[in-house]
Amino acid sequence: MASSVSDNAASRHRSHCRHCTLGTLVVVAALGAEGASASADPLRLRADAYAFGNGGNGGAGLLSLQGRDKFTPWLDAEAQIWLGAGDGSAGDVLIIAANARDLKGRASVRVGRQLVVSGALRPMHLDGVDAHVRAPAGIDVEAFAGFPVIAQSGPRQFDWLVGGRVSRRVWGGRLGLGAMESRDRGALDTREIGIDGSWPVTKRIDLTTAVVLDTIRFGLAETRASAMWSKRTLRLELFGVQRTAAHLLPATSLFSVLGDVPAVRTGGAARWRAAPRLDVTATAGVRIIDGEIAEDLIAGTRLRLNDSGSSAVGLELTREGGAGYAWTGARATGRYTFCPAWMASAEFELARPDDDRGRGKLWPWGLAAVTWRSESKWDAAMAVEASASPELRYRVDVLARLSRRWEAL
Amino acid sequence: MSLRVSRRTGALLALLLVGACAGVLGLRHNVQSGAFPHRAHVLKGIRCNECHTTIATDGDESPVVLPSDQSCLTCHQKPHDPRPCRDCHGSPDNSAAAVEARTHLKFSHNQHVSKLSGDCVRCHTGVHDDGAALRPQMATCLACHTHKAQFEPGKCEVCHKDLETERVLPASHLVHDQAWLRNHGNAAASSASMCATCHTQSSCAACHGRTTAALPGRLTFDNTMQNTIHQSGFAARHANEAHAAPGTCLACHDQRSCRTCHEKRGVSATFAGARNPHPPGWVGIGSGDNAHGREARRDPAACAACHSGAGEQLCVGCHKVGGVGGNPHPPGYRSQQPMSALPCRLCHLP
Repeated sequence: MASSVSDNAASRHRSHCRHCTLGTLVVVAALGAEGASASADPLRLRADAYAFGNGGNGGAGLLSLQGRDKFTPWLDAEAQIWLGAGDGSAGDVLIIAANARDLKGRASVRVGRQLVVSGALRPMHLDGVDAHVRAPAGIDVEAFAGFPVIAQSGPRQFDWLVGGRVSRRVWGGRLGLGAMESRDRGALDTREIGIDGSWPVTKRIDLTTAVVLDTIRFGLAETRASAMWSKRTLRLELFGVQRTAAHLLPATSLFSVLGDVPAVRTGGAARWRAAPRLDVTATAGVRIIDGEIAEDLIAGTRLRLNDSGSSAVGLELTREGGAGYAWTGARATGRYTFCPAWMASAEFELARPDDDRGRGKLWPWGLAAVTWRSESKWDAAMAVEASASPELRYRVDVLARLSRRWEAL
Repeated sequence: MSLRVSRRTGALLALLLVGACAGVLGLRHNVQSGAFPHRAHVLKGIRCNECHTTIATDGDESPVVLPSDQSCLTCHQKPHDPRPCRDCHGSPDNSAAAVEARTHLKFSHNQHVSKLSGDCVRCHTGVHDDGAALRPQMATCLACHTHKAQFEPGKCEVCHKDLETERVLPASHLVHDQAWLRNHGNAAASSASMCATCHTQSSCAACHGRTTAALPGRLTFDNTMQNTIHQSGFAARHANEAHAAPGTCLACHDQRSCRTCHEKRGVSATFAGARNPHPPGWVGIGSGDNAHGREARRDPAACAACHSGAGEQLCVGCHKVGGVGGNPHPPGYRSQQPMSALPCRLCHLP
């Protein structure tokens, strides 16, 4: 496999080991109690457990829990817990939160470990509280506070995060203004202001924008804007994104003092339903980073082989420019449903870097999978994944998933 | 001339190809064999409620009642087969769609039939075409001003009992295609409550969570048609993609993520005998390319991925006040941080 990988002197540092993992096992088991009809559920609990094993490295797992009942419809709870992995990574909680809300949608509060997405502000993972109030005149007020979640670490002294956002309906759309500040062991880590807006300018044109301003080292951290036009089978979009990595780093990082060198990406995208079962998509753009201009091109098509789309094939071509990092790739996908119980799927990608630098001239990747779903709520899938990468001459993994849902009142 | 002929031939071939593939492309409607001939009954002047006898009084919780054999026998008095009529004269897809709609949607026929004066075809347009899907499209519901007003602010629960269990994909009104990965942040910024109608916290945390990346795409490896941020052979391409989009990785990953993963996989300069990841001429004092300064300004997050924390001392060794590395700040640099705070104190205070 991966015979195209050069074996010249420049690549002598590249790992020549032939990595072959036959025994990688993924098992997903869904455990739960669900009623036949969602509206009739007196109590619904759902648990999904995910386990992963890789040869002698032991297993890993992910557990998801959701709970709600119809007697207290104003309250629900969810949790997602990474159970750790045999390769040494410890388990940790991603989400464990309870959400209470006014049934008329006027207010809600979420308590626990959660992901706060508030307007243009960066997504914040925190242990704390997020409260939301919908006031008259289309005004929404949100406030959040807590302790920032640090990977593989418990609570630290003097870590905190606080912020909020106010938004209201303006010209048929919505305009929001948010701010947040976080501290890392008491040191000022992040302080930013976010402005977001979205407007349906006409029946067919939508505008969205988000601007994030770093107020510690005054400058734009991120700016995103998009204008979308759609009519019947055609959708066109113009977009622009600017990110300044130095402003996205914590202010306590030495690398945050290197100044404003924004990375800009702008271009257009189109999606056309050429026939009822045939979609054609294309994206063309340019990236401008520190005076360097490079191209970004993606073209793809997808053909559904039946009305439901359960069987389909797709092809995608990509060209990403950039001095020293340009690459060209092709990706083909397919899925075929033989009957409601059996499905086969396959995916293949071939990427070719312009400058291999001893990392291999071609990076192929492929996966073939078979899925079986029984009427008795069993679900199983098995796949073979093979690839060659700058790291490994070739790698083969066998993946498997097994799930079962139990329903009971 | 030959070019003209070849163009004409090409156009002809293309037309033939489209014609031959009309079925596959969905241009030709596939009439279901055995579907109930609604059209013929409508043309005969038979009103819907003559067979669907309970429809005018069916409420939100009423069971799905499909016409019985007795309904057919009122006209077709000599049955040609002992089996139930619906076994042959009915589409299982339409029956299943009716049951699915009853299970997941809040809908009362009794409210709609009276408002439309019994004109069922205004919504069930498929009866004009035998075998077509009879369940109205969502766009038909939204054609009514009441439902349109509910849809626009995202009040899905008015019609949908529980979107999560219904597992309906927003194929018609909110397309989550490849471009969605790029612009979902904009949509979530101003319409987070809309996202919450289908997605839970776990959906966001699977990528944006700081503790670990659960990689939802990895769990559903057999869904090869899905669009994910780390698609297909991303592991091979990740260095190229990170270089092309400075700062993007920070949207989900901690600044130390690269080092953590590389050390686990034994691909790191911190290992004895490992190669220096930087090219020749990376650091030069008075000579050489001294490329590290330019690259660090371009993507400081990439430097921080390995050199943050204790690794910062490597930089400060040269880039200190009076040091050979000179001033790392660009002209006009200013910060609200006091000199006693990190990282200023690494250089500016003894």
